[in-house]
Amino acid sequence: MVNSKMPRSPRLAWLEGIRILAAVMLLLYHAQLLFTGYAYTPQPTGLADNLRQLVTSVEGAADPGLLLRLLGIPAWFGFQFVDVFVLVSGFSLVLSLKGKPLAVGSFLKRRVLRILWPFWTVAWLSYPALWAIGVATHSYIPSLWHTFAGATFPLLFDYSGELLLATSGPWWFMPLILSFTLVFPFLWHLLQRWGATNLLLISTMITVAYRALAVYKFDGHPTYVILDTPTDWHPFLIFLAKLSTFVLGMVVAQLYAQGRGPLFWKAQQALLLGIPVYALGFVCQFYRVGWVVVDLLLPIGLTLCCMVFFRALAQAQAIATLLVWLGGHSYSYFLIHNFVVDRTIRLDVRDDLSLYYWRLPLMVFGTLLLAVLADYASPLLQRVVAALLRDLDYVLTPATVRQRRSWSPRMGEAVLYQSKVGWTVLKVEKLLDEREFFLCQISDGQRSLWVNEDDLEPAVKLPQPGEVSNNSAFF
Amino acid sequence: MRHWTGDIPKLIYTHVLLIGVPTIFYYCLRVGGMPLIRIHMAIATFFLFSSLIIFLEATNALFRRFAVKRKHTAIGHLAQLKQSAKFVLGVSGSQRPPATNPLPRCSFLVAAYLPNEQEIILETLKHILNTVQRSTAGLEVILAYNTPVDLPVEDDLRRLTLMHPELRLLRVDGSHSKAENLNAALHIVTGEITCILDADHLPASDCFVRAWRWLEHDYDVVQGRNIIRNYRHSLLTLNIAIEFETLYGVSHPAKSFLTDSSIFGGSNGYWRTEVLQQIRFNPAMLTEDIDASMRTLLSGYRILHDRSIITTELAPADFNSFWFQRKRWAQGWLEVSFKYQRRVWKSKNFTLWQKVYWTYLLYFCVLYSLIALQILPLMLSLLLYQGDLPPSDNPFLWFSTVITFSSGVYQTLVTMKVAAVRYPVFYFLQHAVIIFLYTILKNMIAVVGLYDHLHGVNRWVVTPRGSKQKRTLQVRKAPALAPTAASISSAK
Repeated sequence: MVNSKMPRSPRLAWLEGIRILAAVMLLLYHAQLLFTGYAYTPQPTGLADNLRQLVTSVEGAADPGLLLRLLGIPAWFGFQFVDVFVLVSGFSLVLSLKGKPLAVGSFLKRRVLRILWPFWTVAWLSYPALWAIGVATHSYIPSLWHTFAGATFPLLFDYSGELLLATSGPWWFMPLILSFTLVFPFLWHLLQRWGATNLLLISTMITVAYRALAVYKFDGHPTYVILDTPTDWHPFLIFLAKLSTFVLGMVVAQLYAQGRGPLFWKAQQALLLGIPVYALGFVCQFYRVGWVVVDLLLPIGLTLCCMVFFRALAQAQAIATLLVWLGGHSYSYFLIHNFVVDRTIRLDVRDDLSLYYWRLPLMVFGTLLLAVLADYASPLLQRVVAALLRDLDYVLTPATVRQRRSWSPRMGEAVLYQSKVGWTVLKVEKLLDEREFFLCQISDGQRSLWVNEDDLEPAVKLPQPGEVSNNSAFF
Repeated sequence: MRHWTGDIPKLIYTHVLLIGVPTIFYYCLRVGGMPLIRIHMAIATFFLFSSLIIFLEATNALFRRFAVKRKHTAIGHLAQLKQSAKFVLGVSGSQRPPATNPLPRCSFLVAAYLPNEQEIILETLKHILNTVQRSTAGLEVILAYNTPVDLPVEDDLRRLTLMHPELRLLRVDGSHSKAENLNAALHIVTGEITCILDADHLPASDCFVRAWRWLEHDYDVVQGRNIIRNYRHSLLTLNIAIEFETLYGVSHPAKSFLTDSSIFGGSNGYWRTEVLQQIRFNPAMLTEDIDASMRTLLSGYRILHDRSIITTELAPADFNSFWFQRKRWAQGWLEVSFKYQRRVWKSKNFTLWQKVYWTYLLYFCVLYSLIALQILPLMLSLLLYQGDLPPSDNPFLWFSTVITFSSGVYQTLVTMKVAAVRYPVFYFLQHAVIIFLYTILKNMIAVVGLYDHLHGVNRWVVTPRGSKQKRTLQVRKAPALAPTAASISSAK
């Protein structure tokens, strides 16, 4: 869901559709919660009681009427898409390897920065805006300590993202997704060593066991439930609570790479499994015992059903292109949405029901606009920060370390440029820049360009695993 | 042909980001009752600093430092006292050193894009061959050009070589840039001094004689002064002409005097050939002349600016060419700033003062175009909040405003005094009137250049030459000069 600049496969346009749908559903969920003062969250009181709460009007709040209440029901369950994100994340991380061996260092650097740069962009741009809005309206402003925690995340990393909550509630998800990225190389190793079935089995056992402990021994409750328990939602914030979902995503991706698995199922087959699993998961939300397995079932059912829907939608090329574009902004959308929802409802809508419905589309599209702007600004910020750090490093390093030239490019020689093969040296110029260096004109047969010798490697040297990989997807 | 209007979305985006968003931000703070006087004073300090630099440069440029001959005649006590006082004040000026050795063999390297410059190249070559003073060791003129197709003008050029054996033609096949043309020519150049010229530059006859007096001594590169000869063409070219007089007559000489370092501006630069053959040009850089200047200085060689060495050139005749030329310059300086600033800070070949000054020329200029803009949202937010712009009662703001505006006037007056061409005073007056808008326009272009740079976009349109050619080429060309904070702020 991360970077709009990254190439995304049109074949997986439906996946991008799921991403943006998930982000929008989370916005609607948070908007509804905030507007109604958290009037409803699933309670472990049984299916019937929960259904009754859903169709009856909220006490003390304006009643939108039965029809709107019914239409609003899906928004009460928007939180379910958090687990869809987890599933898609495991899937995308495997795909990012493009079938090549995993180089742990470069993989972690690449993936962690892919999560953090958009986050930093949103955080750094948001804090001044939140501050200004807070000053102008005499409303809430995150404290300096919380601002520091957000702007420097993950400097003050904790499993629950407690310090981020003061800025934006949904940001609790950041430590979770970062945890999954960090644990991915280990899981990948196990997947290769144990095989998909064994890993899935073990991870499911661990997840179920942990969740049972979380419910019955740690006295916690799922993140979307508001209930007074000794440990509240904390036991459900760590990656163990959703491990099997993530692993399932990995396994599905591996199968997909082999040309089989659920992604190749026909619509009927996918719905045949998806709908019952979702229904079962849906019911589980309302029972304490169900909490043990609910987050395992819901993302499976939901993803299968959404896959069928978006796959049909993406048949049209224009819609597929649109979905790919929207999916590219879904991560920033997720990061920003709560600012828009919170400030709009608190400062503008307040308790005006009709205004709330009028503002909903504005919130949905306004957040998209801000997400696009943030994704636009992110590479700019990256370049500026990288330049500053590079300057700082250069100045603070006591002696400039110059690498001895191990190889001199020659005309006609095959070379690697940015670790890519297919380039040949056309011309070599020797220039002076305190020391002599080579400037080479290279061509790949279609275009030629001048590059510094440091950007080239002899073609005979094989690329390091992972260097060639330049995949996009984050979630 | 690319048109500048294609950059309008970027222009809007960048200015919404740099002016619109801050306006809302400041407005919110004003609504919340926060005083913004400190922000205002910080921006005013920025303006003040730039203005003081303009005063410093303009004052230095008032003294004809590099064009004076040594005075051997006896002078009176009063005159001696005056000279001593000037020396103590550091304004006595550098006198042109006398040449002790005869002028060695000289070479012109003329770089040309054909067919874009086919209408003017013959005129340039004939001017050089017919007017420039030769040394006894001889002169050579190498035309290094690239063209995608055979052109009739090449026959004319070949005929010219028959009439003037000093002329050598070098068609650089596969070249897409001035840098590649020049690098190819550097393999065959034979002069001890090499002057690089663009196809539209007409040098003065005594150019080599004047340059040799510096090159013979401690300097490796001498940059001359470029003036605009088509200043009567339009209001735009007229303003560019005055701007060039300021840059080449005031800013660059002052920089050279103050820091004993300067830049090679891409044309009318005189090099010791052995140095140039080492430095060469980097076709991967957007402004390969400034890149070459930085590598020259970092490698311990010295560049001097002598405003008495004159060439005339053509200013962009239409707004479209002007837009892309200025964007290219802005972007090129950014590229150089990000590449070399840190190395300047650590270089042993720069003195502390030179490091400070080059920081002003590189990073400060990058920041200037962004920070200077912030005065607008500050004012706009006040207008939105109060409905009018009441005069400030803060003495520092008044002081900085007066200094800022007077620096532009002072610089224009100095430019009038030292201008190479005696333009009518009216030209300077109208320049002074529109300089504010002209500076805003240049800042806007610089911001779009910054946007392009940060997005890695570095393709540009060659400045069309001649009356008919309006040809788009995806190649790179160096600017004749580059903007500085002083030049940016000169309009204030």
